[in-house]
Amino acid sequence: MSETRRPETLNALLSCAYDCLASLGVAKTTIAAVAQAASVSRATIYRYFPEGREQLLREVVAWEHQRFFLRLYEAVSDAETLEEVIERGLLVAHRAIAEHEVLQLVLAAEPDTLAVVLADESASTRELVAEFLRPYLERHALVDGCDPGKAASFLARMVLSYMAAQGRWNLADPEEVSELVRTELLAGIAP
Amino acid sequence: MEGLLQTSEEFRLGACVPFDELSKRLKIIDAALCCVGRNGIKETSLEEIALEAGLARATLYRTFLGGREEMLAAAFETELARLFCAVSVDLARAKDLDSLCEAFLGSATDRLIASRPLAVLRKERPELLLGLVNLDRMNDTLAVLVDFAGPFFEQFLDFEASRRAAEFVARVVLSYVTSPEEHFSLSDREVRGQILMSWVVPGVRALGDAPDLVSQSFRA
Repeated sequence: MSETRRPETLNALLSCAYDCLASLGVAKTTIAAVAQAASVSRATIYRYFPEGREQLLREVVAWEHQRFFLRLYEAVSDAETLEEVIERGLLVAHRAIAEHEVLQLVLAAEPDTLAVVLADESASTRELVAEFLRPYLERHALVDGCDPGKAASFLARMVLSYMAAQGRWNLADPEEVSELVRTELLAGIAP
Repeated sequence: MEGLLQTSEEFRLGACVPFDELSKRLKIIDAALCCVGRNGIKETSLEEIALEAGLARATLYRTFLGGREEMLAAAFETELARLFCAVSVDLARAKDLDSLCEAFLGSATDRLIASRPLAVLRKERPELLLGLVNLDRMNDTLAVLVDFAGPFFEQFLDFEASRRAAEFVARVVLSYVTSPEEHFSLSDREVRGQILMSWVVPGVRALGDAPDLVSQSFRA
């Protein structure tokens, strides 16, 4: 099947499916609705997503997940220090998730789809975040014996954990975020 | 240290309760856990549970009106409750903040891994465990773990710091358990020690604003 999937068409179909989710909601985002929105036949959709609607939903979520991290990257990549990049990343991501209408729709209607996609992507997402953080660690004065690669990976885990749930912290409040970063995240790495 | 490796077998209360309706329930639950751990969820039939428990099928149906599904749900709930119970015994033994962090990280991880029924659940129904850390449920999961472990941290920290510390260690466990790294696993004692002393203890100490005595003595 994969050899028949042209990247441009795939992207256009995922984009149409995403728009359907935003305008129609999860339940009404059917193969027929996406085919109509994309002006293609249902057969075309099935050729790209042979497992049908479930696969389509899964891939849309994965596609938007990628775009989300790209936007996050763009929002924080001009930060200068390690503290700044983590603080801004947490603030921006927290707000972006809360205000992400399609994500919230999928979360309400198909939480398992989201859980499965996030689990599939978890290792690559963590590596992506760790790779992004690593140069900041290398430029920063670190605790003696601190391995920047391992520290970056730990920080990536924690940042992703706080993005998924703020727990007892108010991640809309820059002061609390700064306190969180100073204590839990950086105390053992760059005090 | 040895204690951390024991499974929750020691909390099989069924053995010490007199034989009545309650112990019948536990007998069935223990039999179900035994079958699930041995053969998996799909392969565990009601007949097998009955055989393992030494009870008639009719007794099983009478005790669990919802049948096999209800039996399995009760079995996993019991296994989790025993796990929490066992971890709390380990947490209660900690004499200071550092060993409490160590006990939480170690006991929770080891007991999660040592539980055969939970390993089966992770393998056959991964979405159930992943659901606990999904965006819609993770705040609730953390709240439960904080309610559970927070009071232990309160011996050494003020109220808010104790809850945040419990949440922080819970996040570390959840992260490594739900998204493991092949060469950097919490179940590896050396790696765990590294995670503990490099990141967890300094983070928890910083929450309590305790003086940092860690860096020099443990990092060598």
